[in-house]
Formats: sequence, C-alpha cells, structure tokens
Amino acid sequence: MKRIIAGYLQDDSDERQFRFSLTCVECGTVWKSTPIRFSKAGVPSPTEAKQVVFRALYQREREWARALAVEEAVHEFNRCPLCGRLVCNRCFLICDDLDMCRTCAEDLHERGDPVA
Amino acid sequence: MWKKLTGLKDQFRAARGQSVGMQRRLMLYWVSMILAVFAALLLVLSVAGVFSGSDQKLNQALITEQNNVSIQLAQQLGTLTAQGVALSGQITNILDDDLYTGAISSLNDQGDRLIALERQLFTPLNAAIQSSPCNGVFVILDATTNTSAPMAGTSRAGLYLRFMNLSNKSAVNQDIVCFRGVPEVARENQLELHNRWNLEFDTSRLPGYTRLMGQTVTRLADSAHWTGRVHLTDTWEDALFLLVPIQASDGTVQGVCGIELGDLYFRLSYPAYQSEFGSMVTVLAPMSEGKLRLSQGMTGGLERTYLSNTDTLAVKEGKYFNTYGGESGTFLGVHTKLNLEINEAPVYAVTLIAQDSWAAASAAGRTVWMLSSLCFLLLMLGLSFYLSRRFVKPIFQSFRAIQEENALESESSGISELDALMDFIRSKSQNQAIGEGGLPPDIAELFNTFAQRAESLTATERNILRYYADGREISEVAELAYISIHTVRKHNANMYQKLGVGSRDELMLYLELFRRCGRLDELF
Repeated sequence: MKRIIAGYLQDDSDERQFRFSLTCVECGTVWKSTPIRFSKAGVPSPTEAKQVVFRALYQREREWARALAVEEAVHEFNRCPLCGRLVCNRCFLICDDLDMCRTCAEDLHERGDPVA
Repeated sequence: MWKKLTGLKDQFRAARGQSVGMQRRLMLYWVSMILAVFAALLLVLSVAGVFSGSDQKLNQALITEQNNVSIQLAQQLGTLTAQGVALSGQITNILDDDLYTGAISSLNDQGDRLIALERQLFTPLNAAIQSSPCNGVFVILDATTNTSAPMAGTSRAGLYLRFMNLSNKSAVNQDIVCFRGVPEVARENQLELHNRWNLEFDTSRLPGYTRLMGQTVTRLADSAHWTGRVHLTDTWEDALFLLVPIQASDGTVQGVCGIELGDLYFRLSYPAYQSEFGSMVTVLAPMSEGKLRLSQGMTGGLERTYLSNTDTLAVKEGKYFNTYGGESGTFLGVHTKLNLEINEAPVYAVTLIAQDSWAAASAAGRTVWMLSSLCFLLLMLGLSFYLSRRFVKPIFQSFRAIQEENALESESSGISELDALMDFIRSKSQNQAIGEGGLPPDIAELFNTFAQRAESLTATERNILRYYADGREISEVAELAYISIHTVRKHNANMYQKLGVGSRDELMLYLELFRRCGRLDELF
C-alpha cells in the first residue's frame, strides 16, 4: 500500500520546504502532506562547493519528507479492490461484503457508509 | 547460632525439594556401581595379597638391619684381628726379654720361670681384654710345667683371662676371672679363678693350634685365623677363637695368643631386632656349598625365634629376600659376605626372620586390606541400592498417579524430566477437559455468546479479525488489506460494537482464550 501511495504522490516542494500532495481520483480533492522546512532554507551558499553539498542535503531531506508523507497518506487513502484506484476516506464505502469506492458501489448497486 | 543452623536446615530441605535431572541421578547411580565393581576388584586383589606389599617392606626392613649388623660385625672382627696381632707383638717382645733365652721348650718343667713369664704376660692380656670388643684373651706357650704328666703331650702353659657374669645391662666394669694360668698371677692381681679353672690348656681341644705351631710365619696378619665354634671344656659355653701365632725373633712359632668371642657375648652384642614382621636374628657363620653352617658360627639373640645353633640352613636366593631352610624351620633373610674365613669357607653376616612370624604379620596386613575392601564394597552396594530405589520410586509413584488419574494433584517427583512429563499430562488433560466442555458454566456461556456475536461480522471485519488473531497490528492490517488506517479503525469500531467488547485489548483477550481452548476456528 505504501509503495502504491509513494508512486502516486505529487511533489510540491520548493527551495524552502518539502510538501507532497495526493489527489483523490473519485472526488478530485487534493490531500497535502504537512510541510517540512528544509534545514538550510534561507542560508546563503557562499561557494560553489557548498551549493553542491546543499543540493545533496536537499535530496536527502526530501526523500525523508516523502516517507513521512506516505506515513500520513496511509491514514487517508484506500485502494479500491475492484477498480484499483486510490480514493480518499470520504469516497471509500464500507459495504457488507466488500469495501469499495463510491463509483464501483453505484455501478454494483452496493450500499455502504463512507469511512469519513 | 541456632538461627544459622535452622536456616541451613531449611536450605537443605529446600535443596532436597528441588528436582534433580534424570541424567544426574543415573550418573550418580553408575558412579556408585563402578565404585562397587572397583571395590570387588580391590577385594580380590587384596585376597591375593597384591596390595599388602609385605615382600617389599620385609626386604627394606631386612636390608636396613643387615646393613647395620654387617658394618658392626666387620668393624668388630677387624678390630679384634688388629688387637690380636698387636697382642702377639707385645708377647714376642716379652719373650725376647732377658727372662727368656733359648727355645721356648727350655721352659718345660720350669714352674718358677713359667710363673714369672705369666706375670709379665698378664699386663698386655689385661689391657687387651679391657680394650677389645671381646669376652676373653689368652696366650698359650709351647711349654708345660710337668712333662711327665699323662696329658703332657697336649697340655700347654699359658694365661687365659675372661669376663664373667656377662650382662647386657652392665657392659662396663665386668669382672675378669682367670680361666687358665698359674693361680699366683690371679692372686697377685686380685682375680678370681674360674669355677672351671685349670692350670694349663688342653690344646687338643683347640683346632688349628697344631697347624699354627708347625708353620713358618711370614706375616702375622696372614697367619691369624678364626676357628669355628669350639666348646669350652667343662663349661656350657661355646666360642669362636682368633688364633695369632707368637713369633720368636728367630722366626719360629713359640706359642699362640688369641681372643675369645663367646656365644653369650655375641648374643648380648647382637640382640634380636623387633620388627613389624617379627624378631630379626643376626647370624655369623660360614657358608659352603649353598649351606649356612650354624654349627661353626655364632648366633645372636633369638627372642622367641627357634633356631638351633647346630643347624645347617640350605640357602635359596629370591628376588626380595633369600630363604633359609633347615631342621629349625624356614627363615627369610639376607646375607653379606665378610672379609673372613672359617675352615676355608667364607663367612657371612646374615639377618634372619622366621617365615611363620612374617606370614602372620603379612596375613594381618592382608586382613586389614580385605576388611577395608569388603567394607567399601558393601558401602558402594548399599549406596547403589539406595540410589536405585530413590531413582525408581518417584517413577512408580508417578505411574500410579497417572493410573489413578491423580496426576493433577500429585506433588513434585524430584526428577525434573518426570515433573515436566507430569506437567505436560496435566496441561493436556486440562485442555482436554476444556475441549470436552469442562469449563465453568458462566465462562462457557461467555464463550458461546462471543462466538454467536462473531457470526454477525461482515466478511471484511472477519478478515480483519483473522489478521488480529494472527497477531497483526493495525498498520499491518491496513497495509495487507490495501485500506487506510482510518478504514481499519472504522471496522474496529463496528466489530467492537457487534462483539460486545470495549477495546482492542479485550478483543485480543477473547482471541487468546479461544485459541487456548482450541475453539478459534469457530470465529471464522
């Protein structure tokens, strides 16, 4: 599940902070992860060599921030066992026999309560 | 102190109460059995006399005594020979004095001259007897006071001084008596006459005298020799004599002087040594043709050992000691050759011990070994019996408890493996009882209610419940089911409501109880 979410995460990071977003394909709601500030944000790089170091540091912190974003997203997104799409808790219904997304439930005439 | 003892007692009881492994018990049993076999072997060997080591001990004791005795004898005989030769020289000087001129035979029938000569001879003889380790000294002159007497051919004048009343308690200040010689000399020197006193010597009773008188002497020490055992005429005593020729200035032998080594003196000088194997007797005797001839030698103190001084002992050499057999019995001992001959046979210093006394002593030692081995064997057998009983008893008790279905109430058997087996049987029987509806009625109802409620779970909830039964966490369930953690929590809330539990811990407790009762499948 985490691997799937990590594949759909959108990188919205800039030079000052790291932030990722994930869009529910059912309702189009964009979920955004908690922003994490780059440790060297605002710090001027005096030399070219320092810039190389800052870039490497930026890459490392961004991966770490991505992992944290995945940990957050697993609370919010589900994978529909029928259509395989990632949908948010509001679009994922708990049905009697099998949980599924809202669209699949309508197609199959299944009733259920949304998770959120 | 009492508290400490009580504490120790409690600790000991607690230690006894602890279970001991079957392997350790078996090891103890086998160790005791091996020791029992070892004890049996020890017993057999001790019966055979292997461990007593009496042969080596006797060998050591004999050699120690023999070394002491042979050294003492060699020193004594050497000293006596030197004293005899010196005495002969002193007498020769006296004979060469003005008192005597011409051949000694000129003194025949010259009573006054013989008296005067014996007066002169008293001084060296007295000095010799006082200073020598012997009990008599004498000088025999080749002359007689009465050539017309019946025994004049073998009767010879001379002087013979002896100790009387020999005692091992007062070796000093022994009384000297005159055994042979003119009474005037004795009277003048305040000596008593021996109760078997005689004026002259009967040389026919002195072996070797005639031979010495006829030979030409080149060196006194070479001509000196010891006679075999000789009986002193008219007495109950025997003696060895050292005979030294008296050489005149012209080289002819004028007489014989010598030293007496009496059998009583020898017995007092060499008392029997009391060893742990019995009395050790010292013998000085010539040996020829493998036979020790006691009749020609001397025997020391006997001390309850029967050994005839006329016996001839056949010598059989052995590894640790020699065996000497004769009419007196069989003796064990060792011998050392001395630089001395009697009747052309080498003389040996011998230390003997009666075989009977040695056998009795070694039998006592063997008995001690046998009894010790027997006690050890019995102790080990008793220990083996006790250990085997202690080993088997709890097993039988446990079997009986199983047969009587008392396994649940039975106490610790003392064997850890057996206790583990009993625990297993108990838990098995308890599980079986649970499976057979052996639970208390309220618990069983609780279980049944929970199982009925579980039937109302949806397929997804039952799937999540199975994950929980497998020990999964919420995050793992979300990962495995491809749903969000919120969705899992939503399902949890629904499940708690349907099953009638208030928390996940309570749910997990139910699952654990169902698993232990073997009823987990009823939930899925």
